[in-house]
Formats: sequence, structure tokens, C-alpha cells
Amino acid sequence: MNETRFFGARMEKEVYNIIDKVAQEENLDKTSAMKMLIHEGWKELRLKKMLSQYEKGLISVDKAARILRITINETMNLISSRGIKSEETLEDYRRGVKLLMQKII
Amino acid sequence: MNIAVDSCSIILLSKATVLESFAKNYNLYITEEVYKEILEGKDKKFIDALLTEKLVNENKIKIIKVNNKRADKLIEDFNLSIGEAKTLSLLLENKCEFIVTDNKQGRKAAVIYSLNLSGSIDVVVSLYRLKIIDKEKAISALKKLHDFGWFNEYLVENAMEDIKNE
Repeated sequence: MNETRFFGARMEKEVYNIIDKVAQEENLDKTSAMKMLIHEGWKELRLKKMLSQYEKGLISVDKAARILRITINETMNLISSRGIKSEETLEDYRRGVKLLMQKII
Repeated sequence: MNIAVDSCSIILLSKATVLESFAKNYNLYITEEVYKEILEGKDKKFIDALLTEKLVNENKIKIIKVNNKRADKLIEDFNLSIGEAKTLSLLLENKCEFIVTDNKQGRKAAVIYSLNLSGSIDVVVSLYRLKIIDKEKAISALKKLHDFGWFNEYLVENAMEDIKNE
């Protein structure tokens, strides 16, 4: 059984209303709704951080996938869907083709 | 000539439906770690995972072992995973002469180490120029890469123009 901790928090009415709305929509009590929101928010926060690091050239796709605990394919889908592009240039492409033309079996 | 391919390019070439043609006409090598990374998609029935497994079983893509010595430095310097680092190590250890990667960090490391580097778009155009795939197949492959959105549009458009004008 998971160990639990008590945590009392004062929050704005707007935030409270979000918890209340999610609890109703998901048919959960407010504590479970809040836990769910924290988990989902944490996942999104981690994802944003990884994608930002990837965009800045600080982390590779496969390393990001490992940290996010998803496949490389899924990570690539996320990167593409957020409009982050490869940095390959026209010059790289022309050089790459030239090299490949020489490397056939 | 032996060509090392990373997970990222295996996935893109598979999406472009040219991985099999590429594997049949070039000596492709992947590391054990890259193979493991790709097969993680098998449970989700990803085509890249299923196709790579088939090509490995048919010995069209070969799996190769690399030691950790050089990979550890690459992991530290470029924040790579073990799969990408070992793929680059294949060239640093002279087991392969060429790398195909579309992974931003992998490409950065390849440039710094002056390695022979290529990407998925380059593969499609080369396969066409070598008459391994026809014009229709090449354009269709580039459209798939375009739709996936990994590359800058101007790059795919230039490759399409190159093919249409030949």
C-alpha cells in the first residue's frame, strides 16, 4: 500500500473550481481529481521541458524518450506535432546525397 | 561500405516506406541498443519495429556490438542515449564508414568528429538516382516525410524539385 502524506493547501476559487469540475466530469472525489491533475500537469511539464531542451540542442531524441518513458517513435511524433524541425540544411542534404551515391554495395 | 543507422532514421525511413529498399542495397548496421530501442514499439504495433525485426531476421540489417569506451564520452558531451552514442562509436572505431541520422544531437556530434553524414531525405533521393526506386515512389516517400513534419519544408521541396527535374 502506498504511503500517504497530508497536505493542506489554500487556493484561489478559480483553481478550486477546476478541481470541482474535473471531479464531476471524471466521477471522482475532489482528492482523486486533484491527484489526477497533478499527475497530468507533471507529465505535461516534463514534456515541455524535454521538448525545449531538444529544440535548444541540449538533449537527443532517444534520451528524451528514455526520460519521458515513451518510445522514440512517440517522442518523434510529439516533436513534429509541436513544429520543432530538423536543422539539416540544403548544403547538408547535397553532401549527404553525394556520399550515399558512392556507398552502394 | 558499411553504413550505421540510428533509431531516428530507421523510424523516418520506415515511415517513408523506403527502409526495405535501402537495406537491400546497402550494408546497414545498427547497434544492439538501437535494435532494442526500436523493438520497444513492437507492443504498439509500430511499423518501424515490425519491419526492422523482419529485416534483421532476413540479415538485411545487421546488428553489431560496440564497446562503451567512446560511447561514454559522447553521452557526456552531447547528452545522447546509449543507442545514438554507440551508433556514432561505430564510425569512431572504424566499423562503419558512414552514418545516417536525423537526430539533431547525433548530427551535431557527427559534424564535430568530421564523420561521413547523411539523413533520410538524402537516402530517398539517392535511391531514386541509383534507380532503386522509381520517380513515383521517391515523390511519395518525400511527401510522407513532408507530412510527418520532421524536416524544414524548403528542404523536402528542394529534394522533390531535384527528383521532378531529373
